[in-house]
Amino acid sequence: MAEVRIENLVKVFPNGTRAVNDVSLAAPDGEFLVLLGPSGCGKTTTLRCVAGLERQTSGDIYIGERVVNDLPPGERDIAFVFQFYALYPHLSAYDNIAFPLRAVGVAADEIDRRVMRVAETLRIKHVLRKRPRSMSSGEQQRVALGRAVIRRPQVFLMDEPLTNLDAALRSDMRVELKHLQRELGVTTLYVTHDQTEAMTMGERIAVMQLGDLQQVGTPLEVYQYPATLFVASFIGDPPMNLIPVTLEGDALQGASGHLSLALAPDVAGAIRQKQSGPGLVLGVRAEDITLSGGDEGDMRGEVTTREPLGDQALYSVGLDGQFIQITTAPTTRFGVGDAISLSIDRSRMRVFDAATERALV
Amino acid sequence: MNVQNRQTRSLLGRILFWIATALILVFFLFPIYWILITAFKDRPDITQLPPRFVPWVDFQPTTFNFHEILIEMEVSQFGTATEQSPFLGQLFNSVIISGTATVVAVILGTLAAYAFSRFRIKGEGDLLFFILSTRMLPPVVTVIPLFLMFTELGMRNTFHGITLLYITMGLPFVVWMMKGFFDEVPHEFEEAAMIDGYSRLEAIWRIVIPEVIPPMLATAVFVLITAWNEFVFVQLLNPLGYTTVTPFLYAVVGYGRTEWGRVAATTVVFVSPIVIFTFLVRKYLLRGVTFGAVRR
Repeated sequence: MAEVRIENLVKVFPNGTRAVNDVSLAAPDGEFLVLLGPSGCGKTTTLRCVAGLERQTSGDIYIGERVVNDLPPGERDIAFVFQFYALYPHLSAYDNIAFPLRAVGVAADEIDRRVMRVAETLRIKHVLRKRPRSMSSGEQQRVALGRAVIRRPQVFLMDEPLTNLDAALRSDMRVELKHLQRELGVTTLYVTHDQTEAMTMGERIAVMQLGDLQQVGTPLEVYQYPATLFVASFIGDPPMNLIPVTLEGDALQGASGHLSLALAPDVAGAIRQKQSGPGLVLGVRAEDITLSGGDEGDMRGEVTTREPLGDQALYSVGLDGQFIQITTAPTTRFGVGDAISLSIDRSRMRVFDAATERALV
Repeated sequence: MNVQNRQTRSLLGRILFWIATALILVFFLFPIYWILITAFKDRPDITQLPPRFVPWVDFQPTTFNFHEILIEMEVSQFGTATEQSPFLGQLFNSVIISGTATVVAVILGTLAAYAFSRFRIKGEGDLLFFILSTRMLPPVVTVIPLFLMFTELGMRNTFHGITLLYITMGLPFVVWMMKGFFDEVPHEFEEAAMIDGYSRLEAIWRIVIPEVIPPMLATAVFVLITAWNEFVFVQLLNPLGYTTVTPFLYAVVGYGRTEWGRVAATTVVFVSPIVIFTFLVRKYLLRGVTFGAVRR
């Protein structure tokens, strides 16, 4: 077991693509760290650099106390789970799982004992004689995990391992994988583009976009306090409402006067001090807005749609050409076309600089 | 349509299918059968009109022709003078020359193809085109330059000369075919093996090669057949040493009259190794040709 530390990692591909741009990141011993981002954000490249499958352009990678920059993948004491599992097609499940042990010349009876134990944990004893082609994707997934855990590596690296499973199986495997990781206590870097996976499995989430690390934090931190506009728009369903505003006096003003949000003087002062230009963006989650029929809220608008979701109701309210989304208790009964006012929870909102796209408060 | 009607139709379909198959088989196999029985006829039976097709009924089979080509051959019209046949020696040459050329071309070509498939190589497209371009001229066009080159280098009538030539002829084919096959094998296989503690060469040997054995055998068959059947170069470059079977086939036709018996017997012996080899690897051939048609 070991800490994984990435310092100032840069990866530029020969065609000039800057896939990873000065990323520094550390996963303490035993942590389940999720790398989250859309495709092409550099998360997989980062993982492949840690594995040694790509050579970084600059920067250092530590596994434990060791710098592993120049070590071939086989000497880094890691296990990698691929999106397509990469099970060896001509070998049985048993031989696939035993393969890493044979590389280091473990005795046959010891191999047998360990394969059986892993197969028991993963409940795949019945497929050990089968070839990958004749297994279901769930079974293939488990065999791939078996091949990863059998060696008891210092680090697990997983590249979208659940993407190819159907939805029901995926949520089962999420729980199981998380459980397995906790039981083994192996530091895990887990790459995904699926925020549900990230939120449910990660102890911490590292959000990446276009090669840049946007934010690292616990699932609740990145959800409630996104550090950048990108994180705000990427995490959460519905995503955070982002409304262009300017600071006038101690209040945030919307473009057409429908929005006016008085701030505490110290908050307004902090914004004024940090902002790089006049443009600001107000970020607020759908559940942090309350609706009322009166006149006393921070914004006024008109209900455009109402979607009952069972446990809650999702409203869209038109404001200056964009739609604000609000979730409320399912019992609220505003109808389409009703004029309403919206109140924003000051303690749970974010204000971003429109130019730098970073959060100010 | 009722069930019985459908069954009748499918039965009819099966019958038509088998008739068609039988006709096609007869069309392709009959000439081979004719050659085969001709090899076992003596001279008078061969020239009979109408031809005799059923052994032991129409004619009495004899191994005379095989004795001629394999051991000693009559060289006068009256059967009085004989000389030792060079056939077995040339057959041996064919085997070692085409065999060596095939093995070397497949090994070198496979390694090159792997590199083209997996690594970023500067000018990859141009290099591949260059490799293919060596096959663009009709081989005959290169006969004179090659003859001069071989003469100058002292490579005429040698084993390494002609083998090198056949390797050169086979390589582009192997490189192109195998690159396509390697492209079909996900690179994650080697990466997984390398993470599991194997070197790249071990990963190729233990994981990638087993995946491409069927298409590799198919490729080898094609290279082997090309080398085995090659006539022009060996006739010109190796008339006096390391001559293969194809010039023998040409010579055995004879002067003054055509020795059909010898031609047929030579053909039978000449074709057999290829037929046997192809037969042995036939299940791989089919998979080799359809490789990649299956989603991974």
